[in-house]
Amino acid sequence: MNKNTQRYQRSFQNLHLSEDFPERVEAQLGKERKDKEMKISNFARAAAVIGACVVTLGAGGLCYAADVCGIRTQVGVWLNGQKVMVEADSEERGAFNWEDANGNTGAYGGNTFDENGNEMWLNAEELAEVINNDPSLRKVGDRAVLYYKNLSFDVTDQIREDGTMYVHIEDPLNPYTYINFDEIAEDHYSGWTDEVPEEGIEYYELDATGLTPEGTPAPKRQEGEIRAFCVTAGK
Amino acid sequence: MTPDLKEICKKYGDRLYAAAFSICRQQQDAEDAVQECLIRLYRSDTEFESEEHLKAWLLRVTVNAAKSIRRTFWNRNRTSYEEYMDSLGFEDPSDRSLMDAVLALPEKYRIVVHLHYYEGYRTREIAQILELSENTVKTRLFNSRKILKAKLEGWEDE
Repeated sequence: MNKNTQRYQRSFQNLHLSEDFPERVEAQLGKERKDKEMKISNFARAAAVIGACVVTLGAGGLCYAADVCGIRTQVGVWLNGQKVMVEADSEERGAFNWEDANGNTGAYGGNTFDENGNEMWLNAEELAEVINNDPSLRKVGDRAVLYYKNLSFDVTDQIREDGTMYVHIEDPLNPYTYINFDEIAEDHYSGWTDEVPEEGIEYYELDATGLTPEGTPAPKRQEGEIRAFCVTAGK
Repeated sequence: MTPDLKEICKKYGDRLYAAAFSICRQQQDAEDAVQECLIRLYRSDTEFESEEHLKAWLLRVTVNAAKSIRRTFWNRNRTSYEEYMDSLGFEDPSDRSLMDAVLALPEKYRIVVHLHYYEGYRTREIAQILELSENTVKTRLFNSRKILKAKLEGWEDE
């Protein structure tokens, strides 16, 4: 073994998984087993969405050859309630580098599955759709703010004592609308999306300033309008 | 037959995490990538012919998961990276310098370097795992070595 290899291995042997990692995977696997039938139906739905996207891009004359370097395209994404245009530059299959007008940079990638469970890489516009359909929960000062597309809600008082929060976004254009936020890292929360509500959870509607008081009838909304719901703290 | 989860974690967990970390440079994302890989393992019907086959499969899926991780990049910042690196407790400062230098390489170089120096794979094997041409792997290794040599004291010519 040469000296470079020895040095490299000594350095990277300092990296270890968290102690509770196996238990977390075991818990997730348990959930996977429970949701297996539902996920099969998700694959079929995702395939339909992706199929439609490919047709649209083809008609527009854009090229998204999966592994060709240097393809750049501008895509609009919602970022903390603001729509910003980002430059997506395909570097490798399924991986895109991004840069917005303010010089913020980073990378994003994603995949989905066809009806047979085969993996398919997303292109830039499909990735933008995924980003736009994902609500985010961020810490802003000492407050917690839920962002979804052009909407923002102060949900500080809705986060439960154990740090979790269950959210439901009612958006006719997005089927994955139940989000369970469960962990905070730095200034944002992570979570996962689902098509069905968490068992035993009662959701209350939010307005732009927070929670609608219990018992107050939800205001009449226009057809197709996006609405947000979540649980109150401690419930 | 799929091996026991705890056994898999014990045997491969840290090396998969190291591979994912070399791409994500972020603890949570790297752990998510490893978790995604293990979940796919238990979903998969793949018959593994050998330990080597299993290891290569795990690495390939982890690498792909790390690249695909559904996490918005703008929520990350360098503070978390610095804090995490400080928490690792490197015995020798040069070990930290090496990891910093590797993680500062472009992403497409990092994983090639990692599979070569940490996992001991040859060019052809790396090309298979990453689904790249051997020439691409060679070029990336060559360029990476040049950068590391310029940055790191004592990095030897190969």
